[in-house]
Amino acid sequence: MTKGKRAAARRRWPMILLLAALALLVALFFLRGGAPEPSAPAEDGPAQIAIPGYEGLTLQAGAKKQSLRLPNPAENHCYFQISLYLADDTLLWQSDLIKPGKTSAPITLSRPLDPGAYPGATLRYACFRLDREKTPLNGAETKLTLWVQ
Amino acid sequence: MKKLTTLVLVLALAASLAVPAFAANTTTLTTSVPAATYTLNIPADQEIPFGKTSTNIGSISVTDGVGFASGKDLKVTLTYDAFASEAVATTIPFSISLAGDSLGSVDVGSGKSIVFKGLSTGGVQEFVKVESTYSSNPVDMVKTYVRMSSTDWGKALAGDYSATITFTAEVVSG
Repeated sequence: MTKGKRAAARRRWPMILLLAALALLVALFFLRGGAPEPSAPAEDGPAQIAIPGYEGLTLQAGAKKQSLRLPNPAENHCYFQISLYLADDTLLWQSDLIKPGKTSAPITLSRPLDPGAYPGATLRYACFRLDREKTPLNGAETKLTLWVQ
Repeated sequence: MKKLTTLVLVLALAASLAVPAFAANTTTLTTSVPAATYTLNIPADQEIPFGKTSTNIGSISVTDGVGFASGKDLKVTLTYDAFASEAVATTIPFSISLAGDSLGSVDVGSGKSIVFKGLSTGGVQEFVKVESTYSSNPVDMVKTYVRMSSTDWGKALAGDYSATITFTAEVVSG
C-alpha cells in the first residue's frame, strides 16, 4: 500500500468508529422500547394527588373552540383525564391523558353555549398511574359555575 | 254655557299639564366578586394489608386557597363503596374517618361531607378542624383512616380487591 493510501485509510477509521458507536446507541434506544415512561420518585408516606379547583370558569359564547387549557400540577405522579359536564350530566368536553406538569389541549366543546351562567357544572378528574397499565387511582370532582359570555 | 264649559275644560287641561316633574334620578352600583380557586390534595392510592382493621392512607387537605372569606367555605363530599373483586362475588365494606395526630377523630360515611372553613385572609383552612374535649384549640384532622372489621375480612373469598374513593369539592356560602 502506498503512503497516500495508508494515510487516507488512517483518516477514515475515526469516522467509522463514530458511526458504529452512533448505530449502537440508536439500536439500544429502540430495543428498550423508546423513551421510558416517567416514573414516580421514592416518597415518604402515602402518595397524594393535587386537584386544581375553581369556583367558576369563563367560556366564550357561541363557539365550540375555546382558548382555555386545564393543568395537571407538576407535583403529581399520575395522568389526569379531565371531563367537563353541565348540571344535567351533558358531557361538554373530555381531555386526553395529561402528563404531570402539562396542560390539556385547548378545550373544544361538544356544542357551543349561549351566553349566561351555568351553575352546577362539574369537572371530573380521573387519575391513572404512570405505568403501561395506567391503573386507576382515586379521583375527584369539583363543582363550579360556567360563565359564558 | 258653551263658553263656560270650554273655559272649564281648558283650565282642567292646563292643571293636568302642570304636574311637577320629579325626574327619576338613580345611581346604579356594581361590583364583581372574584372567583375562588384552590388545590384539593387527596390520597392517591394505598395497599391495605390483609386483615388490617385500620390503615392511614394519607391526608385530605386544601392548599393555594384564593378568594375565600369567613363564611365562604369549601365543602368536600366523600363517596365510596365496598372493596370488590372481578374474580369473586364477596365484597369487603369499609368506612373512613379523619383523625388528628394524637387527638380527635370524625367518621365520614359515604355521601357525607367535610368542610374546610374560609378565612378572613382570603385563604382556606388546610385541614378540617374538630373540637376536642382534650384540647383548648380545634384539632387538625391530618390523617385519613380506612377502617375494616376483622369479621368482614374473614368472610372474604381469596382474590384481589379494589375500591375507589371520589372526592367532590364545591365552594359554598356558609
